[in-house]
Amino acid sequence: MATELPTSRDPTHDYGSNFLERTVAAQRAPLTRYATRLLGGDVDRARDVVQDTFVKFMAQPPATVDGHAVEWLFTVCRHRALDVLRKESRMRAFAAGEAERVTTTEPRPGRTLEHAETHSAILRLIGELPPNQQELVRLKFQNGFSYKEIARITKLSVTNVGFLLHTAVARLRTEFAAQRM
Amino acid sequence: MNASKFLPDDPKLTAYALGELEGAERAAVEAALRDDPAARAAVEEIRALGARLESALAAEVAVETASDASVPAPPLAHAAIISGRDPSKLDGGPLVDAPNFRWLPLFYYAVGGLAAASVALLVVLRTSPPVPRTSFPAPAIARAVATPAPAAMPIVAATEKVLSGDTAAKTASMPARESQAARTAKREIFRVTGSPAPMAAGSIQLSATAGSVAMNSRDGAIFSENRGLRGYVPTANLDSVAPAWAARPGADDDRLAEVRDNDFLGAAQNPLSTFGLNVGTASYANVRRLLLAHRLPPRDAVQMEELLNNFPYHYASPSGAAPIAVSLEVAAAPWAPAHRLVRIGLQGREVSLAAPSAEPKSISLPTIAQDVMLQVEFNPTRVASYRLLGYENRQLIKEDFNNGNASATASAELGAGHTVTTLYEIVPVGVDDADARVAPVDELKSRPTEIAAAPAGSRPRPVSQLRHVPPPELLTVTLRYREPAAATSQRLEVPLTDRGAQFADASPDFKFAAAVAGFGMILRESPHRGAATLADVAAWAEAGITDDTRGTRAELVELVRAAEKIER
Repeated sequence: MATELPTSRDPTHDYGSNFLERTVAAQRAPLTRYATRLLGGDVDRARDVVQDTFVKFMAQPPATVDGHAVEWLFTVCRHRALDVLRKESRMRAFAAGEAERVTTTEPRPGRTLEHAETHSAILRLIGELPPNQQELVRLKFQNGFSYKEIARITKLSVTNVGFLLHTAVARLRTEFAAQRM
Repeated sequence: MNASKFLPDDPKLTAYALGELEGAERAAVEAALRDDPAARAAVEEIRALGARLESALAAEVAVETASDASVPAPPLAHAAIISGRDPSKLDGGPLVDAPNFRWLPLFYYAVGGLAAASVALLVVLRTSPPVPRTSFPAPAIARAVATPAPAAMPIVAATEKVLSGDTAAKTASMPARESQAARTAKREIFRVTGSPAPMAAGSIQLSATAGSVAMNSRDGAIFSENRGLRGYVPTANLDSVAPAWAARPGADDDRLAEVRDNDFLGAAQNPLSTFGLNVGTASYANVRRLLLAHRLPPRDAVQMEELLNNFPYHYASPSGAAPIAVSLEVAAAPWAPAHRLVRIGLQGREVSLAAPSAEPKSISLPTIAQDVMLQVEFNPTRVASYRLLGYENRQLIKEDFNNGNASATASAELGAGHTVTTLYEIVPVGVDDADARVAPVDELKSRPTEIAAAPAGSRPRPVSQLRHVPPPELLTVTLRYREPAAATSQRLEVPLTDRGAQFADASPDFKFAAAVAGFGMILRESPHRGAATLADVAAWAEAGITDDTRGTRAELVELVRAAEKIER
């Protein structure tokens, strides 16, 4: 199969003094957005998770993350966010139905769509996908990861990632077409 | 590749459209597309959608605000520890700012059960303003108890971090790696918070019945491995209660802070067991999803009571005025045949609705009872010890039960026609079982927890009179509930006598519930799972498949088989 190439989003190899800092600066917003999504919209906790991720990142010898620094950050960030969620889902079990809310991040969208709001319409359709598909859709189309990278981040198989994204895309195609009729 | 034509829903087509195929695979798809206009159109559509998705998602509100720009990149790890954001954040511990507590600390009190938490609260109350007894929801306890922790813990957390060092993939193994300083600090914390003195001076009511006091202890403290000191929950003077769960080898590999299974409690010391119903099923959905994706669920994603309640059972409907009927059954526990397994089944009254019969779970059925709580009184002449399966974080203080105050810790509602299933595992008197052995009565001074005054500012609460279950009965179940319009709660008592049934004699519902429990214990790696294997679980479940029109029970067997495949 294809060799592993550094992704275009990664800083180049001159990992001198500011390689890690530059990566951190560039990835803070995307990572926080990703973590916020995983954490059901809790920005504060997402920032904590991201900060924690960066602390770990800064402790890495640059050579060990070179070429896949962004993937590394997303992987670690995801791991931390899920840790938080796992613990929290224990807490929230006090109220029936709360657990679902931990993973369902979007409010249920209405059926009707406003014409001028294609973006928000699409976001709402994405919000109707199962949480795991939403995550893959965002990793793919928001963060630009390849199937293989997504597979490594989420610990799914590449085939599984392909299947889930295919399912999500097929559903979005159908529903988007239906909305426009 | 042999695809001259693509099905429109071939994942390969999507992969191709998104630029994910390379080499021969890509060439094969391209060759096929030449003769397949429909597939070509699909590819164009997918690409167009992909562009829309990218554009829409790029516009999705980025959560970063101006304030973030001022957050500097973190210094290197060691410096971060010294210069002091909450160091516990660095050890894989909860991401919680001490002054802004949120929910996470509660986790550790779920471990200890509310009784342990209430013991710990006493310690705090000596230096804090009195907390009214009525404000006893668990989060408040956690908040109060956890307050002193950050001050005492950084040394240890930092130590652990320095030792564990490198990556997120590794979590420090506390027992293996802790330094002498960490151990000293740990003991110190335990000594302070675990002092028995506050028990005598108690300013709040304590309950030993809230299950998990006799939790797994190591050095007398409830211990959540790999969490650093945050995992230590003081158990006051209850460290005489036998530690029933030794540290499991390999447990430190698991990053999850865990909620331990309820341990066996001595019936003589703790004749009452009280909890609020959990009618949720989310845990089952998660377990199912993960297993179908060929992944074993994390232990703490497996909530026994939610697995059990995912399935409908066939219990007798209420016949009298009460909206709930209680069905009890007892037989040998299949994973530990010397033990008895007690099933408490609740059946909510059916309400006639002009509703379609398909998918009954998705229909919002009217609530027929609220604040549903169960209290089980065990007969110590029959029951040596007992263990509630699941409900690790739902145990109530019995004073709440007596006051019908389920809302303090749980909001349990029962919908029309719903069933709720609860299991207790019992070690009968006369069965010597090292795993389930509990401390002799006198070590706890018989029922010390019935006493204690109310805190300043709140009235004393009535303490229940034990019924003292008469000899032939194994236990008595008391159900408390409130009908939706009612102001006061009702009480229903149902005794159970054990006639010595074997597992094979049990009803299909009983067998199936036992299978679910066995499955849950294996997935949770519970120390109480005995000899149960996934193959056993599948066999028990199959023996319990009856009237399974929706196929939910058959599905459990499938999930057990899926888990078997993953385990291999």
